[in-house]
Amino acid sequence: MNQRRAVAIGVGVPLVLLAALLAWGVARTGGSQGRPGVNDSYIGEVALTVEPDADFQLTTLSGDIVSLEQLRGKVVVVDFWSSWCAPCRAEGPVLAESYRKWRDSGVEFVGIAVWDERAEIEHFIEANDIEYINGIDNGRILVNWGVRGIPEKFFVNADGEVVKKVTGPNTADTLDRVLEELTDEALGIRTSAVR
Amino acid sequence: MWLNRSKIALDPLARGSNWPTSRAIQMNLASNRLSASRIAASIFIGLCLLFALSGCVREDDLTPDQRAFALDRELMCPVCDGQTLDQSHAQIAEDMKLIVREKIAEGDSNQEIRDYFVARYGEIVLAAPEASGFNLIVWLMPAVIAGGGALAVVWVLKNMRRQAAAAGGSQDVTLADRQLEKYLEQVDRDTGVDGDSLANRGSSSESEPG
Repeated sequence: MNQRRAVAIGVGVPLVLLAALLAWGVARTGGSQGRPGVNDSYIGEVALTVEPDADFQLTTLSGDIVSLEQLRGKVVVVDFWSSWCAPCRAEGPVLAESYRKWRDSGVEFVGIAVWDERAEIEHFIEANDIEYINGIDNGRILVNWGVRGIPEKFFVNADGEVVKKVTGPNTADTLDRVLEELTDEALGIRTSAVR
Repeated sequence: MWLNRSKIALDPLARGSNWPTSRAIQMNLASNRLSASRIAASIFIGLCLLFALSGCVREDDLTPDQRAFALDRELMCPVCDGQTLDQSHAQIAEDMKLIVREKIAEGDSNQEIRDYFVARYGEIVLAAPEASGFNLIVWLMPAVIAGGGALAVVWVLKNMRRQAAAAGGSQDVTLADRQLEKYLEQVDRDTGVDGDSLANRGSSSESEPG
């Protein structure tokens, strides 16, 4: 009887501990082992995955080199996207319109196309009348900024600090809310008149 | 001098030298225990050596390609379901593999490269968590389970051996009794004496002295 009890304890306790560890792991990750590379729905602000002073050297479609350093003094929206990604396609016209609305308020947009073909990118930009800077990344900027899926956006304040990361496709309202907050902070004035 | 058969039969120490004594049984058990201890010690030393040798492969001993492939197996694709970089063909995994190779070429250590990815994707990017803090549980649990299992096995084996020894001892006494019985019958036949009646007489004469 003692022997049976010892075996039961010897086997049972480690098994219970393993089960507890597994349950803790599942609870911590929400049961999800990973997400696809496309963010289908709007998740909103998530933890930053890059240092506040992060920068990049992006070659634009016109062949220029652009960096955050050059855009210091402006609120910058850095958008990681792709022309084949459905949420990005849905968001394209929204971003194009939002840029036209905010560009005179000290806001700049930078599109960084990833995992895509140049011809497809140019076609999408032209079809959606996108006027802001766009360039193609070979994966270096994407990984360096901790991007998991597209679309993902980083917001940079006028001091050049990366302050927010937003995952999923935005609406005009969600973009306006963040840009209003950042431009308020930068200019010290309410920008509700712009809306 | 009367032969008190019952007294002799009950006294195992009165047997001949070729009989297995309880001391011999104990020595045999002790010898078995000793060899089991030696085996356990050998296994322990072997495992220690294995651990020690596994730490002997340093980054400098590997070519850049070998280091890159090793890191590919240590890092998870952040958007795939439980796949390491070497298992995944997702575009982000391919990008990460290229960055691993670039950083190796730039002279970064493996730890620096791991830290780079952890800073961007969190600890979930590591196939095996760092052996520190709460994560230590993950590293210690197998050792605890293996150690606990080994102790349980040793305990069960000891218990079985003790029970077997107890059963073996009683069998020896029974065997001794049977052989002694045969011997005494032979003595009775050779001497032409009825041992049972003598024993009865002996016991009655002890009760009626004079």
